[in-house]
Amino acid sequence: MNEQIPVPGRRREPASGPHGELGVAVDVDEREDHVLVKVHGVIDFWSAGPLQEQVNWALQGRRPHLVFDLQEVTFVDSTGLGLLVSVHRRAETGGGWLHLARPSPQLRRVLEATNLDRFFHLYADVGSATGDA
Amino acid sequence: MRWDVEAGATWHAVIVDLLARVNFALGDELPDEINKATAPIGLDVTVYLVDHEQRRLWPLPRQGKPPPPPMSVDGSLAGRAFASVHTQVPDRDAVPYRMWLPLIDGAERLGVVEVLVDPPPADPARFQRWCESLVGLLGHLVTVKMPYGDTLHRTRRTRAMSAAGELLTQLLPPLTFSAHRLSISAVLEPCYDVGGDAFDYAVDGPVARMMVLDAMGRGLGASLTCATALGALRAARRDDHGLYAMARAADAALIEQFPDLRFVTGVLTELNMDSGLLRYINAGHPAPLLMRGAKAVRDLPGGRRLPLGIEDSRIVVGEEILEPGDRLLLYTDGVVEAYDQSGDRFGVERLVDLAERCAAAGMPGPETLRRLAHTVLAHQDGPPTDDATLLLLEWSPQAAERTQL
Repeated sequence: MNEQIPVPGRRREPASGPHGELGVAVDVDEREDHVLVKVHGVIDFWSAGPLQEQVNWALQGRRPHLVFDLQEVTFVDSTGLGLLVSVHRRAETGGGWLHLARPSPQLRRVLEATNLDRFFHLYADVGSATGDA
Repeated sequence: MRWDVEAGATWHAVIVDLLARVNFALGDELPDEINKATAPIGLDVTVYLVDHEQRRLWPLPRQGKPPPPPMSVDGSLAGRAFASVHTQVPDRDAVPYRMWLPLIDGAERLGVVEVLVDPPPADPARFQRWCESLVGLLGHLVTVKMPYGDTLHRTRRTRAMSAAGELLTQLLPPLTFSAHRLSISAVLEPCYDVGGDAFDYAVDGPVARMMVLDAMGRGLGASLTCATALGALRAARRDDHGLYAMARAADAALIEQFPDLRFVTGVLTELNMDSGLLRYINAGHPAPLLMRGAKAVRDLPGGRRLPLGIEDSRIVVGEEILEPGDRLLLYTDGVVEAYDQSGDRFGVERLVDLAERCAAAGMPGPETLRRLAHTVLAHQDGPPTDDATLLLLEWSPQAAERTQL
């Protein structure tokens, strides 16, 4: 497990890990009242753009309701945080919301360090984030 | 006539001649003009500038003389003069008599100067004091000539500066500043490719204001974000606004300039040296570290708000009463988040340990930070991947004196 965790910030070239060249993969599950986006891998300078493209459509509709399941995210850098803030903003501007479920320990540490833990809606599990619990 | 190299009148004549010579001198003509002014009293002067990484000292070339090799800061007498800000004399009986003097502008370390004199001075202590005055003037002259040509800049570079680095380094104040009651030092890595980090300070009367910033992202994008925040903060400060209004000005500038949302984390501080009151805002940044005596006593946990660029009206400005002699260390996460090959994080403990040892050794502030930065880089055992910035405030006349000749 440990060897799969990339050393943060060390990437100079796009990674070629289990989640492809960009180091990130998403499973999008479109449900009746929200979109569940399960993110795998790394949300950083190199992967934030492609990830943004993959969730843009979900932000186009009226009152976008998004749940990001972040348990499988191994590393988030400042650009990745910027992406999350931007998606949060766009969802709320559109009258919807973004819920972050199961942030990994590294992400939780970064959110606390930047005070962004009080900016996002954080949930310990996907069920409570989607309102299914 | 035979000049008396210890007499005031001699040095007066040299300095007046030098001042007349440098009016129209270009930066690259400085070494020859200096030597024309000092030749009548038998002084041979070589100026070395330190590179941005603060590892080696590079000679300014002189006409008709082969350039001497660069000197290492670690492990040479020239380097010791630079690091300790103390003049070094290798051999008091040598002919010609040789001295290494630190080249500083105010407290900003620029390099070293080698002075050779033949015959040796009859009163070396007196001679040394005159040379230190001359070299103090040379420090100012080098700084004055720096903006008008590229030669002096080139001497300080061992590689090309990135566009992001060029933009950002031009915005920063000198790395070291000292006044009667305090010394402020800073260091920023990677020095040729810095992107999103910056620091700033201003001291007016009893009030010292200091900040460090860390913009999200990388490269030129990050440096533009950081430049925007720094510009807004500095403009608000110079317009006599307090910390709260400064932070709001940075929010407004970032939101207006970058519709795609960019944020900057940072710590803004303000110390009143009459009352000891430190006020601070921490916008999503590692907490400032308070050192008392040579010991780190605690993090300052207050004043927290969201990063600059994400409006946050729920700010309570943090307050702490500092004591004379205290040190305050501000750092960006690139310092503690430096990883080695095995994934071991540099962490706050290593930072604290090293800062305490440097403080206990009575090391000058700028030298403390040079060593801290190099230790972080060595830990990373590869090219640095996130910017790492440190700023050290030392509130004591002794700390100020350690940065001066």
